[in-house]
Amino acid sequence: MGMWALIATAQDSVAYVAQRSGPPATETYMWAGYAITIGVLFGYIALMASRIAKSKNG
Amino acid sequence: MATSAATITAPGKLPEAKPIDGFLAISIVAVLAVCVRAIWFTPVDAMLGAAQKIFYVHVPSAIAGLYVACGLLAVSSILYLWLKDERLDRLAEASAEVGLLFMGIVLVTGPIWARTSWGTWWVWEARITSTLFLWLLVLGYLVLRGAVESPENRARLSAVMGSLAALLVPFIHLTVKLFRGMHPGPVVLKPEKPSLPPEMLTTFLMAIVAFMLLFFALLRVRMRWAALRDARTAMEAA
Repeated sequence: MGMWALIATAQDSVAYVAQRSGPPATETYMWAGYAITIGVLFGYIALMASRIAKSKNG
Repeated sequence: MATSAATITAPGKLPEAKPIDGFLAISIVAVLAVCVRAIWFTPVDAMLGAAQKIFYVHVPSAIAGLYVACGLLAVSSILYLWLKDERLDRLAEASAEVGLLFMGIVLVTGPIWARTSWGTWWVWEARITSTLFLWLLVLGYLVLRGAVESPENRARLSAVMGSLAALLVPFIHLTVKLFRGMHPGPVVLKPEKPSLPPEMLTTFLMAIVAFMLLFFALLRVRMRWAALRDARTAMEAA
């Protein structure tokens, strides 16, 4: 229960972080989103290359 | 009516299957170019900050993974039940796997974006929950395919499951209208003009084209591998 309460409390701190000027600093989240997307796509291409090589070579 | 890769190619020869061909290379370049444009050359949202740019990978992945992949899964599964053509079974299998990949991107990038805009990683609202259920159903479809040994039974059972799983897609589409939730309504496709500024709209449309290219390029590679795999299995059995 304590851990979940801690997670729930920690989550609330990021939304709409008030800044004196400009939009909230959420670049880290953007980079995480793009890194995961590119990583997943290239990972799948690597998987396909490995499958094709295995099927060709038996 | 049934056709296999082994009968299409010369006897004793495996079909051609390159992991990276021209189409896939072009689609990779297109996706990378769109990412560069989205990150460095598209304005930052004043309310949500840079995390809003996840929109340019999240929504195109949803269009490819939910609408196109599941649409192809349903159509090819139904056609397989009618025509019993192995190529349709391979198309359904490839659509499910590549669709699972794109839906996975949606389900991972969504919470990252939600954390900054909603203040929480996950909300059990209708659209998110039903998308997770669809992902699990498609995963179950692929597990089922791996569990049935007879090719005919595998194709028939998975065609039934594939066509039923895809029925969830229209429901997911309508969730924003049917239920109160966190997801916004349509931003681009609505009766009035799109609510996005022109620079953001251009990047978004380019992202849709790039992700669709990549989806079909990966689908093609996946189908070629399936043909190669089936031809090898047939060759080894002979």
